[in-house]
Amino acid sequence: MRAAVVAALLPWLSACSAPSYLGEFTEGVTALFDLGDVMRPAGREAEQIAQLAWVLFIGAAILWLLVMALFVYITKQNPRPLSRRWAEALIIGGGGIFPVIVLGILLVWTLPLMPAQRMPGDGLTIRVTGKQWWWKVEYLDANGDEANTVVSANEIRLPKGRRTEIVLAADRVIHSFWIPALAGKTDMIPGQTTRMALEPTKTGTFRGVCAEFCGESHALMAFDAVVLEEPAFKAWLAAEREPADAPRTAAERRGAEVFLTQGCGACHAVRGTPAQAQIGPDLTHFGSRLTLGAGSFDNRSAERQSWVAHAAAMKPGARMPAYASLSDEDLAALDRYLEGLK
Amino acid sequence: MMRYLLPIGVLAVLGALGGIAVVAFGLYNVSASSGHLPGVSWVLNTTFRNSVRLRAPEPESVPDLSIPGYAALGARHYDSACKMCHGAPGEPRSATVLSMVPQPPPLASAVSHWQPNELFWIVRHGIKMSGMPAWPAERDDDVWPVVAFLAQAEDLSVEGYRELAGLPQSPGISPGMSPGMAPGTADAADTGDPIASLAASCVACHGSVDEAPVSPAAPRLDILSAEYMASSLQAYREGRRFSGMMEQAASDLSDQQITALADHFTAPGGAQAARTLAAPPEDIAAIVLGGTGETQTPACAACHGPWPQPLPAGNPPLAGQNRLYLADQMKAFKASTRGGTDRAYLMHRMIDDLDSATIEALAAYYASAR
Repeated sequence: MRAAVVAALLPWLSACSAPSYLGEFTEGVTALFDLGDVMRPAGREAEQIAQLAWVLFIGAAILWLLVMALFVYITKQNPRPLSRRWAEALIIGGGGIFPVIVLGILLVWTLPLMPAQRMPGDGLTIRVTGKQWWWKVEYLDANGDEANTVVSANEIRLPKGRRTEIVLAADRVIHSFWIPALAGKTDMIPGQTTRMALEPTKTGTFRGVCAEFCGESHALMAFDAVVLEEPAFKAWLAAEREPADAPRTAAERRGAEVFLTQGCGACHAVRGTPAQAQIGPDLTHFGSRLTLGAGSFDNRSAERQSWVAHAAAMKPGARMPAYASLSDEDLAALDRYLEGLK
Repeated sequence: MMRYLLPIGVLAVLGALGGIAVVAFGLYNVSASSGHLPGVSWVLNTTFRNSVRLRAPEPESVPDLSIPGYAALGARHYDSACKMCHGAPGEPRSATVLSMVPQPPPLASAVSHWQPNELFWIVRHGIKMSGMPAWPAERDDDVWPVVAFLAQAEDLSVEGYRELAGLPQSPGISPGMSPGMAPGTADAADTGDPIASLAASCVACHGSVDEAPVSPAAPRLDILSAEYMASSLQAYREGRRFSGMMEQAASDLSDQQITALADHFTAPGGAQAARTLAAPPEDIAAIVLGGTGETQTPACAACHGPWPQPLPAGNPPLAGQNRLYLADQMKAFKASTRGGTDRAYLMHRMIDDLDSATIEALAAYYASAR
C-alpha cells in the first residue's frame, strides 16, 4: 500500500510545477500517513481548515529547507565572517522584515476565515445536547414549534449542500462536539448554548466524537454523522418524525411487552407507546441506527443483548442499569423488538 | 536517679509476666457464678454509663416520637425481641435469664435515668460483653419506634403494656404469638392452623384488609403481591434487606412458611386494581411520569404505576401505601441502608438525585390513592 502511494507520488515529484498536481499531492500524503478525517474534508469548514493546514505545512517545510540550506552554506561552503552590511541585511531582513511580510500575508488571508467558520445556517436547525455519555439530537421545527421537534439520539443526519445550524448544549459537564470531516470542534457548556453550522460537501458516514474530557466513558462518547442528498434527507426526516412501528411478529410483540413492563419506559421513549420518558436516549427508531451505546458498538443482536444485560460492563459509568435478571427468552424478544424499531 | 531505674525495670518486667500468665494460663475466673471482684462492677458500670453519654447522638437529633402508633410498633418489637431478657410488666423473667452476669435490668429500671438519644444509642449499638446485642441492621430509622416505646416504659402498668404490645388483657391466651418464636408452641395449638397463628404476629404490626397497620411507619400488606412479599421476606431472612424489626421477624421462617404467609396476605382478586391515582401534582409530574427532559430521575410510573399495562408482580405497587413508610424507604434507599430484593439496585439509580422535599411529595402523592 505504502509503496504504491510512493510510486504514485513519483511523477508529481518530477514535475511539481503544475498546480493541478497539488490536490493529488495532498491526497497522496493524506493516504500515505493516514492523516484522518481532518485532512479528508467533506464539509465547507473542514475544507478551509485543511487548506490552511496544507499551506502552513508546505510553507513551513519550504522555510525550513531554506534556513537549513543557508546554515550549510555559511558553516560548510563559505565559513567566513560576513561583512557588516551583509550581516545587518540578514538580521534585519531575515529576522524582521521577512517574517512581518509572511505573517502579514497569513493574517490578511486567515482573518476572514474566522467569521467564515461561524457563518449562520440557511436551513434546518439541529439541537444537540451532550449527556454523560451520549448525545440527545433534536431536529427543530422550521416554524419554531417545540411540539414538532423530532427527538433522536447518538446519530446526526444532514443534507448535503445545505448549511445546517447546530445549536449545542450540555447537561452536567462540558463536552465538545466534533465531526472532524465536516468542521472544527465547538464546546458544549452547561447553562449556555453555543452554535455552529455544518455544510457537508460529500455524502457518506463520518465519525463524530466528544473532544473534551467529560468523565470515565468520555472515550466511548461518539456518534455517526450521516450526510444524505437533500431529497433522501427529507424522506428520512419525515420517517423519523413518525411514531414507532407497531410490533409485527409474535417475538416482537413479546419484546414490546418486556419493554413496557420491565421499566424501560422509566428512562426511554418509544413514541406511539406509553414509554415517553426523556431521561435516556429516545429509541423510537433505534433499529435504524448504525451504532449502539453512542457510537461505541455495532448495532447488532449480540451487542444489543449484552448491552441490556450489562451496560455498565461495556461502557463504564453508564447510567443504564444492568438487566441481568431478564430471562434469555425475554432478552431475545426485547432484541427483536428493538431491531424492529426502524 | 539511676538507682531507681533497675527496681522499676524489674517490677515492670514482673508485672508484664504476671499479666501474660493471667491471659495465657486462664488464671482469671470468668465464671458468672463467682460474680465480680470488689470494685470491678463499679468500674464496668461507670465506664458503660460514661461511654453511652459520650457517644449518644445529640438530643436535637431525636425525631418526633409522638407519631401515631410509633410506641405501639416499638412495643410489639420489644415483645418479640427484648422481653426474653428484660421482661415486661406482669410477666416474670426466666430463672436462666436471672442467672446472667450482668443480670439484664428489668424494663423499668433499664430505661430510667436515660434520655431518648441515649436509649437510641444503646439499642442501636448494644453493649459489649454484657449480652445486650446490637440492632441487627445497619439502619437507624427503625430503631426509633423502640425508643418511643422505651421512653414511656418506666411507669407502664400491666394493662398499658399489654395494650401497647397488642396482647389480650389476660395473659396466657394471646393469639398474637411473638414473631421470633417458632410455630407449634402453645399458641398455635389454640387455632390448629400454624400459618394463621404466624400470620397473627404479622397482623399485630401490619394490620389486615380490615385494619390499618398499627403505625404508618409499617407498610400495609393488602396492596402487595404474594411474589413481592415472599421475595422481601426472603431478603430479610438472608440479611439482604435491612431492618432490625423485620430481620428479627423473618429470621427463622422456612421457605414453606414464607410462601404460605405471602399467600395468606394477598387480597383475593388483588386489591391493587381497586386503588386509583389522580394525576400527579405539577411539581413532581416529570419524576412520576418521566414526560419532560428537565429531570434526571427515571419515571416512577414505569415500574410502580400508574401505568397503562399490568406491571410484573415482583414490583411493589405504591398506590395507597402509607406515606411515612414510603418516605422512610426512599430515604433509606438514598442512604444505602435499605437493601432489598435482587432488583433493589435499580432504585439507587432512581433516588440519588432526589432531595427530601421531593421524597416527601412523592410519598404523599402515592399515599393519596383511593
